[in-house]
Amino acid sequence: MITPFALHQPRSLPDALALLSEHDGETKILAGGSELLLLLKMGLIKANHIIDIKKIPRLDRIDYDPQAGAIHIGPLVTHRTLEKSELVQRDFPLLAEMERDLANVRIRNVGTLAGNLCFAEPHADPAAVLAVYDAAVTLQSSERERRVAIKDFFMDYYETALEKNEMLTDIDIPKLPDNFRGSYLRFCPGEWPMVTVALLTRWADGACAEARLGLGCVGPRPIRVGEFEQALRGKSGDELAAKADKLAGIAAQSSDPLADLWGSVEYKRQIVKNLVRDGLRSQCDGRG
Amino acid sequence: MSEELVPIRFYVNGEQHETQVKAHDLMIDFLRERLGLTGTKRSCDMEVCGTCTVLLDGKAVSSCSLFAFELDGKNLTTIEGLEGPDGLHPLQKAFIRCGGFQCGFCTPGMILLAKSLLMENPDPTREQVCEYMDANICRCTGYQMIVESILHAAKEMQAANR
Amino acid sequence: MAGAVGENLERVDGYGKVTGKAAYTGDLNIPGMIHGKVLRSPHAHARVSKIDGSKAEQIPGVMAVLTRENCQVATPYIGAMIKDQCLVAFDKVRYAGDIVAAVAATDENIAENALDAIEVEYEELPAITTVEEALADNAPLIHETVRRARPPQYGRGASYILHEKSNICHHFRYERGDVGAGFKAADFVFEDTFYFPSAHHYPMESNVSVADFNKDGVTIWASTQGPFGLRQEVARVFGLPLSDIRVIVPYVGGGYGGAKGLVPSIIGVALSRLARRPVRVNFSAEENFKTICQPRAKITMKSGIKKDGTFIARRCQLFLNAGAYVNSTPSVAEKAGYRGHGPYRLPHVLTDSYAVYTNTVPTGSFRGFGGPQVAFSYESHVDMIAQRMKLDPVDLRRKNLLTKGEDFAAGDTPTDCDLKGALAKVAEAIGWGAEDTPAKPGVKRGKGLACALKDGGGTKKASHANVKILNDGSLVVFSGSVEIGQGVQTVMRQIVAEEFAVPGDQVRVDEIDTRYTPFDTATNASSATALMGSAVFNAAVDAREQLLQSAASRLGAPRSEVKFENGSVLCREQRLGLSDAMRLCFGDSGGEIIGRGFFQLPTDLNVPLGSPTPFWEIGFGAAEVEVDESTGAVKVTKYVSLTDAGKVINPIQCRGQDEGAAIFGLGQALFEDMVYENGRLMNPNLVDYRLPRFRDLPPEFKTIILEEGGGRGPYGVKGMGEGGILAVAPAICNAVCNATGVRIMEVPIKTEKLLQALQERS
Repeated sequence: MITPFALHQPRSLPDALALLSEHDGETKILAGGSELLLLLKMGLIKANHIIDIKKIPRLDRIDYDPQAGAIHIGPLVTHRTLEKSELVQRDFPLLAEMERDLANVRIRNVGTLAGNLCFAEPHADPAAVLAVYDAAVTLQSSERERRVAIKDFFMDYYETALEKNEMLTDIDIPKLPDNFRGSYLRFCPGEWPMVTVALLTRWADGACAEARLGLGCVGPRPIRVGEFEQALRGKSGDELAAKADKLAGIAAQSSDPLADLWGSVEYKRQIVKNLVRDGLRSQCDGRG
Repeated sequence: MSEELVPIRFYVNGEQHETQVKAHDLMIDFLRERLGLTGTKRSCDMEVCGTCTVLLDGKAVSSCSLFAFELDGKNLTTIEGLEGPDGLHPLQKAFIRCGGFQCGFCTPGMILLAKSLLMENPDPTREQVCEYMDANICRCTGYQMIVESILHAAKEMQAANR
Repeated sequence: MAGAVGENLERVDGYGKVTGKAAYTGDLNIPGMIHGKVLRSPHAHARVSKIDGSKAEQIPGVMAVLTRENCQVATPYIGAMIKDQCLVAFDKVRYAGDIVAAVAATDENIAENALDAIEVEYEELPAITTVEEALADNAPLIHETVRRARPPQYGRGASYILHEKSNICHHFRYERGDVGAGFKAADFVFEDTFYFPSAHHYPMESNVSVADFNKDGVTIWASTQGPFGLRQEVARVFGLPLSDIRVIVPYVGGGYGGAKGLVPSIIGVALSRLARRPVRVNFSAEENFKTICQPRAKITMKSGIKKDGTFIARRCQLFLNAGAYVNSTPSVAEKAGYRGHGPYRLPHVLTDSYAVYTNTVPTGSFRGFGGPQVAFSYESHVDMIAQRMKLDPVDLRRKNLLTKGEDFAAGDTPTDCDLKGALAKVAEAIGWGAEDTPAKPGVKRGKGLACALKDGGGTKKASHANVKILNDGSLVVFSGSVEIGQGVQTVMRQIVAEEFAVPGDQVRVDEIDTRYTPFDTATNASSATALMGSAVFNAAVDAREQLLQSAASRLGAPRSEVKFENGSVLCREQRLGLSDAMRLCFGDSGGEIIGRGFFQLPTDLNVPLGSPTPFWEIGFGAAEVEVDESTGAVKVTKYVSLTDAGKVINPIQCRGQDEGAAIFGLGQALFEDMVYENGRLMNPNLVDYRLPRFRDLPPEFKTIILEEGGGRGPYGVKGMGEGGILAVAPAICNAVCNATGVRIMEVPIKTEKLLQALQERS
């Protein structure tokens, strides 16, 4: 049962931020509410104040900034909007693909990407994709505004860099050059993904010029596997395809999953390895 | 904590309502208990099963995981709103004709989810139906006859539109 | 004509269910109704040394607090064959989730919060969660006294063995021939052990009831498959005559054998008596998981075979983890044991089947009633035998399958359908032996099949029915078979419409209210169409006969000159429609005829289970699977299910039941399992307990429903609804073995284990 709370429905961002500062005990932001209501209903968290931000204009924007070459996603943008957005499908296909696979359509209709990031549920889809895009978030309070790279935003299971009086007001994702190819792979035997893999590669003159590998759900934070990324540089597609299994092993070793109902630590590492290997092989296809 | 009331004005199945709800009231309880619309059912209570599906401004959402005050300014469709003056909606007829229900408990949510699918994609393939409808669970039918019901309704609705 | 048997008559409950107007128990608003919540033990095994609800009673809005101190019952024990569960804990709690107290309050929040004010002191005891622990020397007794009803009356070959001072609460044995001699005469002896999960029924509608204990008696609105059994339990617990208790059953949102309605009703009645208000008790999804489940099984099959593949001897040992309270699990042990040798010719059989108490969630019947557990075991075992002996799995089965008319067990009803023909059909439908299209890289593909059967229709179940003819020729059916989704109301309508040759909408099937509805044992065992169908058929015939006699008398003709044909009463040259005939007999607006029907098979101690099996429900299946070599995940790409309805009364409903049963079976084969840690159930919710979804629907999925006739019901109908679940797990596992060489001995298939096995092989 949800215990009573004071509901605030501010009509401007400054008002919302002022409320956040004013009520610093057990105060929650309500956007879509998918994650929030589940935790409230289960009694895992308690809210004395809920700040519903849905009456604030422009928080549902998706803007493309051509100068910065980045997309700006407001905190009220739902997963479904991102999934269906032509702009996202065209210029950020990995993001669109991830959003398509996320949860189910009812949750996607209501849940926001921002809300998902703020709860830092370790078995969530977006983290790995945002990690390979080198995304960043803007955190605002009444006092200050700061931009935090996604790798610094996630701190631990269910823990982010968000301070008590701060709100996530923007997610910015740089657009990648057209010669990047991406794969999003996930293994989801139950309701929530066990392993997510986001792989981006850029090829030039028959060799891999750049690689980015993000692993999600296999640690307290999403993981960028620098060693793997380095190892791909300058190698041909054939060479990489032949060594895919070994390279994927690097990724597996970097992961830090927890055992649960769905599998042991070793199994989850094996899944990381196999998905990364499969993703790498498919990206090497036809790249000499 | 005082239980303050939140005024809301909204449409349900085409009818306007104006009332007050407690901030922490859930949409599903408001619909079932205050408005007497017991067609919407509760099952898993955690957005997994979709039994509680309603259409909020045409979008399929889980009424078990939304506050009642979210109705403000919105247009809600529940299962009770599908039958029109001309009779049952093609989806309702199709579910009867093609065996899309058995115990019927998941059926209101399932039909509404299907309605939102057909609004978005009036001529879906079998694969597209399964992918979209995967959001909701049925324990009785084994799903195939639900798929057939939806494909049948889609055909009927397309024919009617010509 | 529409409404005739064999037609897709529109379902009686169709309009209500697609419009949301159909009322389920949780939709009812009984005037004055308040809300009940229960307090559950956190411990798996503990003595309740002290309980005090007085602080909770003081809370504003609380109208009653129920503990063992103020129960006021004739007996606190409920149960089936064994009365082992107290409505609230008396001496001990025996599983984490066991009910110790209950509160009724003006709203759910108040009731829920008031639970915290109930003071309970526990003395923890060592908890047992596995059968091995329960059977170990010096294992603590979970029930110091086992309140058994008198042991069942078994017949030829079957026996009940009592174990005193043991956690074995039921031991069934079936024996024929001499297995020792059989194994000696065999050329090969193989022994394999299999494991089947504890699955939870998870009906979409929760366990819910409303109880009103007032000066006129007790009225209960319950979501239940057994209204008369519920009435009986309430009468016994509260020391009331049956005539004072009324059970009304609205639509039920899924049952699958989960003893729904019983626990909430007993608690609700007790609370209602204390509060003097109607009380609704509605369990949450988590509470439903903690109320009942299927018993986990360990099954050892040992077979003796001749080198030409002829089966000679079978020794089965089944251990069912029966949980803290057992409901129908002793009967499940009995049935599973009886079915344990499968649809095969076996002269020598010895089966021992045990139900064993542990400190886990109570168990009971579950769709298939022990059938899926043994089918998984014997059909995996048969495939393993075929592999070891390098015989074709289809040939091996064909050689040993019973022929129609042959005995499954001496004394019982002979098999009533063509099993070999059925095998050929599923093999053909799956493309057995055909060239396989190559699987894409990273995936292995294979096919498997399975043949299973269960004795269908229950044992000695009694069904009464009335059919009323009203003055205007409209008809009403009074049948206690509960509409749980299977379409039983529509079937009864069709039978009566057929017998009176009237359109379906001239026949009303009345709601179930034990005050007016004639007695029926319960809606289970795939029995309603054959058994209640027979009772309804007999009632229709009786009503017709009364009408003919009355009409003959009115017309001054001997009875022999009056007959019923094509919906009319014919007498010499006169032809009267139903309403005209009624008015002839009773005047313009008066009178009615009540036809009565009854069906029950007799006791017969020549039959192993004491009464003949009404019919044989077969479940044959064939699967094509794809195994993902990167993850160990199994996808069923093709599934064919086959059963024999005897006669299809409503084709869509039959198809729906078989397809639904097959997907139910898919859940146990691939996903479903109740997981415990230190006696606590770890996955009582749908995030952690995976049900089959649309994504699991095999892209090619078909059912074959035979109409071989010869059933006990009207028109040669048998029954169905459970057959479809039997073959799924073994067909899938046989297909996985065909695809990968890995033999699955335990379901649900764990992707981790399969991946490991795949890697070991490569």
